[in-house]
Amino acid sequence: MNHSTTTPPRAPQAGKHPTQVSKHSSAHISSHQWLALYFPALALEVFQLQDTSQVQVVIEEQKRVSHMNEAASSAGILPGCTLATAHSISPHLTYYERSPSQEQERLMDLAQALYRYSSMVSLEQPDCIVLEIKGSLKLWGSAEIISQDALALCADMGFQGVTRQAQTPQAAIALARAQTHRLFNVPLHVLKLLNQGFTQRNLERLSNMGVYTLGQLIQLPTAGLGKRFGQCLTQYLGRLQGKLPDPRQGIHPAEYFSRQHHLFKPIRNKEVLLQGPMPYLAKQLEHWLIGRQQGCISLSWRFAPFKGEATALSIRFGKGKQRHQDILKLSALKLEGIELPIEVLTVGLDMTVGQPWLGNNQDLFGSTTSSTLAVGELVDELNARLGSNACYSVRTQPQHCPEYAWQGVPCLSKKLTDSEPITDPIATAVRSAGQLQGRRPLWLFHQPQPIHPADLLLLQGPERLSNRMADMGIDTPSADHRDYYIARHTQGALCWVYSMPRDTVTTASERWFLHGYFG
Amino acid sequence: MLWRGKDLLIQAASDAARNSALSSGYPELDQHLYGGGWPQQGLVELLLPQAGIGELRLILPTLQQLTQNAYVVWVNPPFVPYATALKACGVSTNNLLIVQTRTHEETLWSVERCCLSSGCAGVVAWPEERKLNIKETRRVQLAARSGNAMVMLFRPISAVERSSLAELRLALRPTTCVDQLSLDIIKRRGGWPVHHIELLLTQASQTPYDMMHTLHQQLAVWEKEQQTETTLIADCAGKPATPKQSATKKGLTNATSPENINLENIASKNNTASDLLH
Repeated sequence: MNHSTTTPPRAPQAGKHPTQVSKHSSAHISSHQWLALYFPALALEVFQLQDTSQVQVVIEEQKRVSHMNEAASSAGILPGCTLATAHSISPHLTYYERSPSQEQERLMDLAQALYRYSSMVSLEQPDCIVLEIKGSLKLWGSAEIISQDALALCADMGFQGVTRQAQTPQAAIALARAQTHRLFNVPLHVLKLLNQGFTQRNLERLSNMGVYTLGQLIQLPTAGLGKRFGQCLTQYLGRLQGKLPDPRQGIHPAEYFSRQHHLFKPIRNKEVLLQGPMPYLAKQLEHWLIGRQQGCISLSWRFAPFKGEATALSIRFGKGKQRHQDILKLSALKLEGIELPIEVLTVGLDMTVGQPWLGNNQDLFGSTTSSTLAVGELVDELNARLGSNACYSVRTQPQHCPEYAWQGVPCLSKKLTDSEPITDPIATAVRSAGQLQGRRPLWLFHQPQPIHPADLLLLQGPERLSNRMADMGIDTPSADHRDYYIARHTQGALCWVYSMPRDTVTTASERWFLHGYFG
Repeated sequence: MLWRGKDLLIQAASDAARNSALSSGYPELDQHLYGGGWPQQGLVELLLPQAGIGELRLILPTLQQLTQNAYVVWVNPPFVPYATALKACGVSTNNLLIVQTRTHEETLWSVERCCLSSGCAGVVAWPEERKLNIKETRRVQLAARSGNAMVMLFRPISAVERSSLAELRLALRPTTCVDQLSLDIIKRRGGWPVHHIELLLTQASQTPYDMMHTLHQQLAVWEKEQQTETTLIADCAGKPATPKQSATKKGLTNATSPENINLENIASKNNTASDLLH
């Protein structure tokens, strides 16, 4: 039994070690294959409490205290005491009922976020996550870096973890749960052996024998242990020591990002939303996006009350975004403008459109490319705050009619980077630069204004432009051509005016129109 | 050992990055501006009696320079910036953004936000004059400084009376010739106000619009003389006629029908005028 199939593959690895030692002084660390993250306070942290230093909080399970925060423990409350005892010690206690389902959800969220470090992320119920890191070492540098980074990530999401590395997943979990560095010292009671198929009776028998730590257990002859306690103990020890294979089931990264966050207390204030649940979800989205190398193009928030319709808030980005700060900044701007349900109880976030992530290429001289990117962000923000049509850029069009020779293009930042569409070369820039310079006004009116000819002194003209409005089906009292003049207004402005042919209108004052200023 | 305020400015000028200036394209204006041009970071106010007197031609060289490799945002322009003309004048229209706002707060917010964006080198804005106060000009000035952007606010000429924390304030006035612009520097760094700077706008637009300006002027002189003569005659005849009335009757551009404003007409009038003068 001990000579299992896993032993032969380990031999060549051991053979590799001398070469690695010569390169890395810490070869014994880099050879660790598994990283375990243990969340000792998961039961407490799922409640996402702000500022818990003053308030005494305990988590009760079947009317007994199972977890508590530091304030409660310094008040003298012990784990395992009844809720009544805890209340008698501290009357101002806040208590929550333990919520295993929420714990599982949060653990899954963390596992999804940790997927960026390894393709093999596995849950160990109820409060551990193991990662196979052997394959990621080259990318990340060393196991230490991964474990520091993973801890920082978990802390960012509001969970304090403990990491340990070991050769086998079970060993890593055992070390993390015991928070020691030697397997020999791991006390048996922290290992949650009931989850490994042990019976309560067997555990009691072990402690009756005086076996309290893993070290003591390993020293006993395996065959004898198997006879006395059954196969599950020897199998566990075999997996722990790497003598038996331990196939683990990895998580599947979610194909689509759609998360909900159920709040324990209803939120009535947008500020609180922006500080609590929204950053949590945005960070999850960020980790998910990084894990999948995607950029978010559009997303939608849902704010649902206890009963009734949820309010949706959709946000669109010009360019794929990953950072939760970017996502939150636009969300905050958009949130200002909408009405939320009075009491929000559920916050949801779905990513609706994504695109493969494109990194920001920095220009060597830091001019055009980076400024285009910065403007893309600017346009996103302006659109979010002022409405989607508030921001546009002007383009020339190959048309003679002045009304149609320009076009306002609503700018998504994607379009900013595009080059101008190729238009009819006769009417485009080349020609206009040569012939039109100074002959067209810098200011154009949306609608030509009637003007009294007495106020004008004609300086140049006429230039006859054919009027294609009739062709375009626009009903204007206009003829098929206009004669444009450059004129000086008595008040000093340089105007671009046109006159209608005499046969279309009757009075002189109706014939002259101001169409622009030369500015 | 007399301490003079100007010395302080010379010291500050060594801090070149902060006080870098952008040539306005008009040497007559540049020589009056601190550092030899527009302040590249900061608020510039242009006060004008009405639109269209040459304010865009004044900033055209600046727009050409700024749009080379950065964006210029126009906040609340009163009319459409005509892309065809701008492009013909050498402004890169791809790098122009137009922002339309609904409220004064939004205008200020947009100006501030655009200043802080690294991709945006200039902001040209038309704020709502009634609501703009001195605190807000300071806010814009600070945003422009910290965001390394140049902000130009276009305000009506009545704002001369109101104080502002802009770096530079110019009052623009039309002259009798549309190719010229009269400028007053109301406030500037390192100097007293300067009045009556005459700028030839053709330096930027390359296109003279009023080629017969001298003729027009002569015509005006002739008409004025005619006017005084008629008043004299009227006075002699014992019919008191105020010069104002006759001015409205016989003003230069007071053409009763559009046929009168015709180049041939003006030219023929002008011939008679020059005949009379010489």
